[in-house]
Amino acid sequence: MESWIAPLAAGRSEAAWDLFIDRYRRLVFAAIRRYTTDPDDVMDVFARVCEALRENDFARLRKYAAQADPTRKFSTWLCAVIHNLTIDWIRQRDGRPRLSAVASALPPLQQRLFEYVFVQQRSHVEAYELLKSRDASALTFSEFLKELSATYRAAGSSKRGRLIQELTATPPEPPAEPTDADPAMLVERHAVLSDVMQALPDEDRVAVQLYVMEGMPADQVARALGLSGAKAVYNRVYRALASLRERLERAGIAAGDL
Amino acid sequence: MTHPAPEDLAALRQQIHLERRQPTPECLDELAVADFVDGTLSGERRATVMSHVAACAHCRSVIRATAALVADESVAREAPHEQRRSRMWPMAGIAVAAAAAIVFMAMPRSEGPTLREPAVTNAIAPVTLTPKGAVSDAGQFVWSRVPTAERYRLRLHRADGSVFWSAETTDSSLVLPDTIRLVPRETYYWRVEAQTEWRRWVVSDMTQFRIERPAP
Repeated sequence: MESWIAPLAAGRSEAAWDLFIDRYRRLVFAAIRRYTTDPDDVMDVFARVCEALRENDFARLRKYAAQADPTRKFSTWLCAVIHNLTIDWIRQRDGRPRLSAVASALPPLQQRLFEYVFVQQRSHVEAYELLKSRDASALTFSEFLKELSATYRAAGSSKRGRLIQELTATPPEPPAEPTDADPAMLVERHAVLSDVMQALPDEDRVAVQLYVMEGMPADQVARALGLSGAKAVYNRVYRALASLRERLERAGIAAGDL
Repeated sequence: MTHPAPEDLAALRQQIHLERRQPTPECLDELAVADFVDGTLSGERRATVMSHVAACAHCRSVIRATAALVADESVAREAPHEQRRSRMWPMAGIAVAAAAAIVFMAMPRSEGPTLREPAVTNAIAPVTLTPKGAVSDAGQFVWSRVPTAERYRLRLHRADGSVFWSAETTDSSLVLPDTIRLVPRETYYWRVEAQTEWRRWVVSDMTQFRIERPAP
């Protein structure tokens, strides 16, 4: 049991806070530094994390304490909280100037992409359509993907790079050469794949999504899904993909068409 | 071991172009995310969370980020040592699975959470000595003494996980009362909890035994 829980329950909130912060201060700093190396950012986010944990008479910590259980690891919960608070901080009022500073160093087109994808968290296809309709862009989708990839690279190379990468999905791979891919085709493919993915059991679908689409390491996927190890994840994903392929073929769609 | 084919992975990764990562009111709270990352969800809650994760790109990104933070060496180094009781047992055989089932079923629900030992501790868990494996008699249960223990609690389980007998003592052994009759060739499990402080217990491994040749 966490040492700060008993004093918190007994109404000695400040004593609980002292115990908590003494035990976890270093972890909180280490987690924040994983997102940003800028000393001002680190201190600002640390202050925000402390403020959020103390808000409403320590409501967040009380909520955890009410569900504390020997099978749970408090540090994992704390990491989830730090992640959410850090992302909120950069997207909301306090961190926005930092976000704007990153964007201002980009060429105008990439600034628009940054706004749509990183700040507004729109999908890539949505960002492409907005560029065409609002900004009268004449980019093909292939050219758009190259610009988008350059935006990811530029934003990710700043000292707030990891923080910014967390605002969106895995960076897209730029096409090696111009392709005839267009968003309408992507949407069509997406609909087909979504349909066949729906037929998979939830656990198989989540294994594919986390390992393939999110790029999570296999050992972390194994831990989350209660599998014995990375090999079990490879096998499960392989079987799920084989099942997807079979369903697609039955629907008359070859693997190369996707 | 079979690796997925690269062309399959590429086709699926294209899906990121269509994903929005904005949260919704149905999104997982931080406790659910942590439980998912640690693999401690079970039963209906696990099914509900799994179904949401399968449908929500935002929650998947929070899960990925949290798992990465937890696994990061610089973060892990600063995490105070936490001992936790696992709910997810490795499937290393029927005996282990049965023991896991017993742990689930036998976990006390009405007594509130059992506190674990502090991070830095010298308290050693008791070690079950006898009976173990195939025995001719199981009239007495013996375990190693824990220096700071104030009392011990023994739980004996049937193979289906139900508690067959439970007793407490200040000694490091207990005699099975005459009213408790063990069935020959049936498998039983037992473990001992040692109380070292108020509401603080250290627990032995679950031990399996069966009476092969009843004592005359």
